[in-house]
Parts: sequence; C-alpha cells; structure tokens
Amino acid sequence: MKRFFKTALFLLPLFTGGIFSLGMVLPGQWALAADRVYIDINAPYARKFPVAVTELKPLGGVGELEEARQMAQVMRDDLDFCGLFHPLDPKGFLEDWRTMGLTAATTNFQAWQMIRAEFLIKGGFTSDGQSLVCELRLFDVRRGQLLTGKRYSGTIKDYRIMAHKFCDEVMAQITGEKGVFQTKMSFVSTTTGYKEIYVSDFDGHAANRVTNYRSISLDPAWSVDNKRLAFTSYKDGQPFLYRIDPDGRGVRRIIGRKGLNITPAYHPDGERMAVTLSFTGDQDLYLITTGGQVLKRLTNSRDIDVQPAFSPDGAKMAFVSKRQGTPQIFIMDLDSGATRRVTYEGKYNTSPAWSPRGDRIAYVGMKNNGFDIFSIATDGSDIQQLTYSQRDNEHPSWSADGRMIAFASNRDGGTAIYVMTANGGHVKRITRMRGKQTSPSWSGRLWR
Amino acid sequence: MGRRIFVGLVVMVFAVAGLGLLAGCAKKELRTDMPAPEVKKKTTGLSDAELAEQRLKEELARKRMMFLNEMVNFDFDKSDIRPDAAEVLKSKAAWLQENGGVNVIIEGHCDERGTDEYNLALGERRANAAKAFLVSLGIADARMETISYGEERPLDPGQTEEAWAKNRRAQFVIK
Repeated sequence: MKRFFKTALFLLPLFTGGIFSLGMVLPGQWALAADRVYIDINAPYARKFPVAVTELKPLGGVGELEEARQMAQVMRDDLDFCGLFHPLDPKGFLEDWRTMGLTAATTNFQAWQMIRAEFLIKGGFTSDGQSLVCELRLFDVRRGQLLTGKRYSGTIKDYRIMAHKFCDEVMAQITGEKGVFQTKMSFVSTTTGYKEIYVSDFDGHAANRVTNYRSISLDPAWSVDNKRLAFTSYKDGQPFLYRIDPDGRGVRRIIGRKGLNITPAYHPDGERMAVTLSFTGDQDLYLITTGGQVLKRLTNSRDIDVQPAFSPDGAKMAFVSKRQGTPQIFIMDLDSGATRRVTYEGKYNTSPAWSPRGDRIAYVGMKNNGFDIFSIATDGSDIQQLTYSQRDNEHPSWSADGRMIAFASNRDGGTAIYVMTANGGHVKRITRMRGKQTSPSWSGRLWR
Repeated sequence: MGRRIFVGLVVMVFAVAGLGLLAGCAKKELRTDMPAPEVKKKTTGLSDAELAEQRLKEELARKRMMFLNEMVNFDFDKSDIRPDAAEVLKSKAAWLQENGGVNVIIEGHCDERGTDEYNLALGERRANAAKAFLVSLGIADARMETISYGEERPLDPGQTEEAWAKNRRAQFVIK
C-alpha cells in the first residue's frame, strides 16, 4: 500500500477549477470500479445506500481544523441531497477517526459492516493555516476495497469545493456518472423588496444577488457554457431581454422590441436562443442569435405561444401554446416545423423543461385549483405526478444529470426553491432567505 | 334766483337718491328668501360663476379618478371582454373623447395563479383586448400604449377568489 501512495504522488496534477487534484487509483482498480455500476439510477424507487463519512484526520502532526470538520459534513449533505444515499450518524461509528488508518489494509471493515455501512468515505488533511491539502477515499465496505482516492490542494476557504469535487467522484464510481455537486442555481428573489436575479450553489448555499435594478427582473436562464444568464427586466421601463455574468458584471441588452421580450432558452449549439416576442401584437416564439438578431419566426398561431425548451440534441423544441383554447405543451421539430400536442389532461399545462436525458418533459399542471409538477414522456404517454397539491409548485428545472428537479413552492407559507428526485421523492428546501424565491434555473456542470 | 333753483335741485337729487337708497335697503330686508350675494361673498370668497367652475372642476376630477380607478376585469386565463367590462370600457371611451389631449397606458395584469411567464403573455392580451375595444369605439390607436405586468403588480395581495378576481384586470394610467 505504501508503494500505492508513491505512485499516486508522482501522477501529474490536474488543474480543475482552481484546485489541484491528484488521481490516486491504480489502473487495475479503475477497471474494477468501472465494471460495476452499483446503483441503477433509472430505477424509479431505488433504496438508499447507507454511507459512512468519517471526520477528516489531521496528518503530519497538524491540529484539528473547523473547515476540515465541516468538509465531512458537506460530503454527508451532498450525498443526502442527491437522494441515493443515507449518510449514517457519526455518533454510531465504531472506528475512531483520530486513530484510524486511511488505507484498505489498515481499515477495520468489520466495524463498518456492523453498523451496516455499504460505502465508507475516509480522509486526512494537512494545513499550514492558509493552505489545505486533503486526501479523500471511497471504500466498498462489503468487499473491503478502495474504489477511488483523490488528493486536493487549495486554500482553506476552498473546503466546500473540495468536498463537492470528491462527491462528484463518488457518484461517478457508484452510478457511472458524475454528480451535480459543481453546479449553480439561479433564481429570482424579493429579498430587497424588488425582484432581482440571484445565483447560489446547487444546494442554495452562498446565494449572491446578481442584479440591482430596483425594478422587476425575471426568469433567469443559463447559457450553454454556464458563463452567462439571460433574463427579462423592466429596468428600462419595458420587459426587455438582457444577459449578465453570474458575478453581476457585463450586463447587455439582447433584444428590446415593442411588447414582450421574454422566456429566453439557449439552444444547445450555444449560438442561438428561442424567445417570446410580441412586436406583431401577438405572442410568438422566435429563434434569435445570442446577440439579439432575429433569425426566424417559429410559431404563428393567433393565441399565446410562450416558454420554449429545447431537446438536448437541439432538434426539437417544447413550448406552451393556447392555440387550442387552453395552455398546453406542444413539441415542434425545428427543421420541418411539424408540431404536435403533448399534454391532453387538464386545462392548464405550462413551463415545459426537457430532461437532459431527452426522454421526458417536466411541466406545471393545474389540478384541483392547485399547481403541481408533472413529467411526461415526449410521446405524450406515461404522465407522472411529482408533487401533490401542497399549495402551488411551479417552474421545474432539471439537474444536469437528469436525476433531480428544482422547483418553486409556497408549501411552507413563504415561497422558496426546493429540489426533488426526478420521480418526486426526497424533497428538500434549499433557500431560506427573506422574501419570495421563484423561477429556479439549474446550471450545467461548471467543470467537466 | 337761478342759483337758488340750482341749489334746490341738488338738494332734491340727493334727497331722491337717499330715498332710493332707503327704499332699496327696505326692499332687501323684505326679500329674505333671496340670499344676499354681498354677505355670502364675505364667508366663502366665491361667486356663482366661480362656484359653478369649482363644481365642474370637481366633476372632472371625479371622472378622472373614476377613469383611473375603475378596472376592466377578466375571468381566469381569459382575455376576452366580459359584458360588465364592456360597460366600463364604454365609460372610458366617453372620458377619452371628452379629454382629447390625454394619452394613456393600458396595463394588463393577472392573478398570482399559474406561471409567471405565461401570465406576462396573458396580461398583454388583456391590455390589447381593452385597447382594441376602445379603438372600435373610435378612440385613436396612437393615444393608447399597452404594457403587461403579468402577476407582478397585484392590487390585492390576498389569496382568495375575491382578491384574484380584482387582480385580473386592465388598468388605465394617464401618460
């Protein structure tokens, strides 16, 4: 095992988002891990896997560090967040993290089997008071085997990012696909008394106000490269479309025609977007460049057409149309223009969000005078109700892996952002701010 | 002699004038049913003409407030003009005809139910429907602008059917 560490230390550091990480897995173990996908993420009601995350052990004689303690908790929260794991209470752990070994050979797997942990995350760290270097490892408890190990190096304040990065690795090992722990959530909040655009981490942590127009700013949408947000604002008197960097810089008007300039959706090609414009007097969908040049009118019905959402391959667009009397979800083939209706149940179906996996569309439907989130197969079959009339649930937005859906709800009185799994399970409130939070838009993965 | 006659005439003129004055006073004292304009003027500072003007001003202000405060209401998820809304719009048309120099903004609003973005579109259709109705009554298109606020500016923040009904509206603002 000693030789294993030496090998790891000689691996070239990979620069990822400001933190150096070192792969610590031998090629043989890679193959072994890749052969086995532990969790079929497509199974609708998979049981949660018990996982134990120990405190991080100070290495090389350094003292204990509050951030290291929090890092273990961030990992527990991440694994809980995704709905696949059940993080075990550290009070029940039988191996003492202060004296435990960090390798498979020095781990007492029986002690972890006894508390029914199936996965185990251990780690150690060193710090000079400013820097933070940590090694994190994932073990399969039943097999007594190391699945992956990573070494991260940065400053102490990067501890959350390091925890998120490792949890993405854990997801990759166990499900075959990285998690969404390095993504952002944008939303609208009335914290200041005005509707402004905010950006936070995927879990609602570190929410920052992006706009400060003391007007009405609405409906943020992430660009394909996750470097920009498009949104509508009344800041110049009319509902015009703008873009802005997530740090609040670089605001620019995209388009400001007479009437509405709303509901931006970036095309997966990154060059174009679909928007609702009404300069003709009728609300229709248009394809424009990201710079605001109108390329093509996409719809031409005499009633409302609004809220475009592209399929992940960019060939189709879901949208809302009232052309048949009530708002319903339609799908248009972009090349041919051929359009078909998808939803037939209920009198009010809006806010389509196309799953990153391509197979389903989440949307809002009115049922019993409340609004709930549903999902439907793109051929109009297999409707699943995901929320159950706990007042109003609106504006679904998928996570990058298609496993989760963010939405806004007033179920607890105030309006806040929530996340749930794609089958409606494991609902978690992620914003706890003053005012109302609405219109979540979940970014893609920030680092690939 | 001629001088005496002159003096006598002057005295008579004054006497007649004095009598006339006395008679006038007596006459006024008798006619108690008629308000004395002199007295009234001292308490209010307005003449009849001024009063009429004041009343007219108040009437115009009342009509203007009614124009601004009376809402054109809609059914849920609808933008067509209801019969009661048509009556409201007719009185708005009358006011706009009387006030030819005034241009207006018609705001379209929705209740809080449903999707924010869809409601922006619905609010615009409500504003457009109100405008089209007024155009059909002869109000010049160029005098009316529209803007939709969707569900962003409710009149009543309540979450009752009564509050929602109030919030589904076209509202007029003078430019």
